[in-house]
Amino acid sequence: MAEAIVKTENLTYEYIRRDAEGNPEGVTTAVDHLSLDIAPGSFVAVVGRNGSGKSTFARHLNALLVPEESAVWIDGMDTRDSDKHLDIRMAAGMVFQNPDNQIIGQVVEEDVAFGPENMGVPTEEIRLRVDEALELLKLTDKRLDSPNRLSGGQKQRVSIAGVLAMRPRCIILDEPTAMLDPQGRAEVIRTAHRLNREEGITVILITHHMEEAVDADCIYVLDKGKIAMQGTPREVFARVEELKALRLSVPQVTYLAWLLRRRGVALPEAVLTVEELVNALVV
Amino acid sequence: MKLILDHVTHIYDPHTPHARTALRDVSLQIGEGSFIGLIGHTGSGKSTLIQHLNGLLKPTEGSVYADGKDIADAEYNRRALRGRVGLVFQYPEHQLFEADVFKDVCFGPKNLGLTQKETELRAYEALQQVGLEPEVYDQSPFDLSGGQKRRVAIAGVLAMRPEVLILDEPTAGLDPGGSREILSLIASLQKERGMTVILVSHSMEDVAAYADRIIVMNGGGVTMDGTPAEVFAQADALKEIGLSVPAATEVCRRLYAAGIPVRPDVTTAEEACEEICGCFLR
Amino acid sequence: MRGITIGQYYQADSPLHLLDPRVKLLCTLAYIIILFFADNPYAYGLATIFAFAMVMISTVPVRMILRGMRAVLFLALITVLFNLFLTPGDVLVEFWIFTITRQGAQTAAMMALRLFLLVLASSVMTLTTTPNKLTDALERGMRPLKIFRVPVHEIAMMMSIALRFIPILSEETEKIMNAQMARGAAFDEGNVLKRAKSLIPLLVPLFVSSFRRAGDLALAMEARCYHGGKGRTRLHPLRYATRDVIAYLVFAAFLAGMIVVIRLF
Repeated sequence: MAEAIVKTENLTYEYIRRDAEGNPEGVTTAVDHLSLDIAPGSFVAVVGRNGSGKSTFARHLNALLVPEESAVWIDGMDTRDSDKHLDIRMAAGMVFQNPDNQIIGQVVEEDVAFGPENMGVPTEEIRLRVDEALELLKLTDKRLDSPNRLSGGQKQRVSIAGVLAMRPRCIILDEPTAMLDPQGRAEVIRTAHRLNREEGITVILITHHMEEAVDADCIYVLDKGKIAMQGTPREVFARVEELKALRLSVPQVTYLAWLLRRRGVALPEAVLTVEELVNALVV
Repeated sequence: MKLILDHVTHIYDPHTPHARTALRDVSLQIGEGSFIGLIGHTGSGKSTLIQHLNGLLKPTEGSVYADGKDIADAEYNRRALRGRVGLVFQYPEHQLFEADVFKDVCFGPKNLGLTQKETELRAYEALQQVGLEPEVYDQSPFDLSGGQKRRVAIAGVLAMRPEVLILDEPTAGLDPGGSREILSLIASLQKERGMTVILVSHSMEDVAAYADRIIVMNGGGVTMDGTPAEVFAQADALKEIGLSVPAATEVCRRLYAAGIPVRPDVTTAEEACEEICGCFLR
Repeated sequence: MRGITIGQYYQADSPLHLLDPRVKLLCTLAYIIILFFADNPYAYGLATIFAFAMVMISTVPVRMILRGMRAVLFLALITVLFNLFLTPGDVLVEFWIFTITRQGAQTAAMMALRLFLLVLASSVMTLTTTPNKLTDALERGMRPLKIFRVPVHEIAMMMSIALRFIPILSEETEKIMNAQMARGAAFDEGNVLKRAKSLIPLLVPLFVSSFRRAGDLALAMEARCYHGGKGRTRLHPLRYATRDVIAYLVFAAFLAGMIVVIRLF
C-alpha cells in the first residue's frame, strides 16, 4: 500500500465546557484517541450524528485545529509544524457546509482564483487553473456570474472549484450537502465521485446522510469522538439496528430489505439499491 | 379553521424587469385536522404558497379566505390570523433573540395581546409539548444544541395555540435521529390537539409516512393533490417534474411490472414488507 | 430586495467601462478638486461640456444618472437658497424681507452647478466601474499610505467582503422579519420608541447570524491559504493599457484648459 495521505494517531481533542458565567463546567472530549489511515485515491465517508466529533476531526485534517499531544500527518507532513500549514492546506483542500459563508469573490471566477492568489501563483497560471477547475465542475458558462444568483448546488460546486484550483491531492467535504435540496445534494455527491474517479483525488466526505456514503470505498461511523464502526458500505449498512441506536439511518431500500430478511425472505446481508433488491427478489 | 385559496396568483416585483410569477392560479381547500404534505422542488412556489396562508404575502390576483373571510380586506385582523395559522420557517432557530428560552417562547403570545399570566401559561405548555426539560427554560437559547434550538423555535409558534401549523422543512440540517424526533413530535401534536399540519418537505419517505394528503407543486401551480397512494401511483409524472417516489413504492412498482402480484401503490417500508412477504413466504 | 445591486453599476462595453479603474478614480478626484477652484462661468462651461461628453461616451442612459441626482436635490436647494438671499452686493430684486443681489444669484448658480457636476462625475465613475474594480483601484491607490502603517490590503479586503455580503444580509433581514411577523410582531406600529424597540427581535438574530457568518468565513479563508496581502498574486492584476494612457492625456488636456480658463478670467 502507498503511504497514507491522511494518517492520525490517537488523535484527541478536548475542550472546556463553560456555564453562562464563563466558569469551567467540565471537559468534553470531541475526538477521542482516533487512529486511522486513508489511502491515496480512495473515497472515504465519515458518518456520525450531530456532535459526534466528525467536524472537529475534519478541521484537524486541514490544520485549522492542531493536536497538542497526538498527531496528524497529511501527505507525510505533521500538522504540528506550523511552517507546513500552507503546504498542508494546498495538499488537503476543505469545503464547508454553508455555501454562502465560504464564497469570498463577488464573481464566480474571482472566487475560484482566491486560493491560488493566496498561494502566490503567477497570474497566467491562475488563469489556467481557474479555467480548468471551472471546466471540471461544468461551471464555465457561469464564470462571470455573481455567486448570489446561483442555486445551492451550484454554489457548492463553486466552492469545490475554488479548492480544486489549489491542485490538492485530497479534498475534505465537511457536510457539504446539509443545506441543499435533493437536486443539489445529488449534484455535489456526483461531482465528488467524478473527481475521485477521473482525477484521482482522495475524497473524505463528512456527512450524516448515510445514503450519501453508499458508493464510498470505506465508511467510518463516529460516535462520541470514537470510531464506532468501520468497513465497506455493505458491511456497515447491514447493521441497521446499531446505526439506528447511533441516531443514524439507512436508505429506505436497505431498511426494507432488512425487514424482509428478518421475516425470512432469502436476501443478501445488505442491499444498497432498488435494482439490487428487485433483482434479488425476481429470479 | 378552514382556509381557501381562490385562483391565487402571486408575482414578485410586478411591473419591473425583475417581475417573477411564483404562483399561478392556485385554488385549494384546507380543511380541519388533516396532515398535509406539500412537496415540489426548489422554486416550485411552496414557500410563496405558505406565506399566503397567514397573510404575510398578499395575492396579486385572487383571494385567500379564512373561515369565509377575505384576509386581504383592510379591516381583517391579520395579526390575529398569524396566531391561528402558525408558520415555522426553515431554520427557525435563526429567529431566536431573547435572553432566555422562556422569554423567547413568550414573544408570540405576548404579541397577540394576551395577559402576562396567559402568555406564560401558554409558553410553559408549548415548551412541555416540544419535550424540553425545565432546566433549559432559563438558559440562553444560543447555548443550546441545534436540535434543542429548533424545538424552542417551534414552541415559540405553538405558544400562540395555532389551529393550523405550517412547517417549512422542519428537519433541515438535523441528523436522522433529530429528524425522527421532530417529525414524531409534529405527528403527535397533530393527533392530540386536532391541529391541521402542513409539512413542507423534500423527503418523499417522510411525507409518505406521516401525511394523509399530499399536494404537489410545480412551476407555481398545484399539479397533484390526493392521498399518498394516489399521488405516488403517478410515479412517472412525478419523475417528469424532477421528484421521486419513496424507495418502497419504487420496489413494489418494479416487482409488479415484473409480474409479481404485489400492490404497486404502497408508500411505506412496512407496507411494502407486508406485501412482499405475502407473495414470497407462502 | 431580491434583485438588489450594490453600487449601481451599469453593464455596458463603452470606452469608459474598459478603462483601468485607477484612471477613473484619479481623474474623478482631480475633476472634483479643480471644480472647487472654478470661479467664473467660462470654467463652469468647460467643466459641464466635459462632464456631458463623458456621459455620452459612457452610454449610460441619462435617466439612470438623473436618478442619482435626486438624492442631492434637497442639499442643492438649501445651498442655492442660502447663497441667493444671504450674499451682500448690488441689489437685483427686493421684496418683503428678502433681497437678491447680483453676486448672490451668481454664487447660487455656480454652487448648484458645482454640486450637480460633482455628483454627475462620481455617478459616471460608479456606473461604469464594478465595485470590485473600484476596490482594487483603491487598494492600489492607497498603497503609499502603507508607509503610515495603514492596513491598505485589509481595508480593501473588508470592503470587498462587505460588498459580497450586503445582498446576503439584506435577504436574511427579510427572512427574519417574516419569521417574527409570523409570531405576531409588527414593525410599523406605535411611536418612535415603540418602533425602535420592535427592531430588537430583528437586530439580535441578524447580529448573531453575522457573527456566525464572519466566523465561518474566516475559517474558510484560512483553509484556502489566506494569510494577508503578503505574497498575493491576482487573477486580474491592474495593468495600464494604451487606452489608459490616452485617457490620461485627454484628461490632462482638459485640466490644462481649466487652469488656463480659471487664470484668464
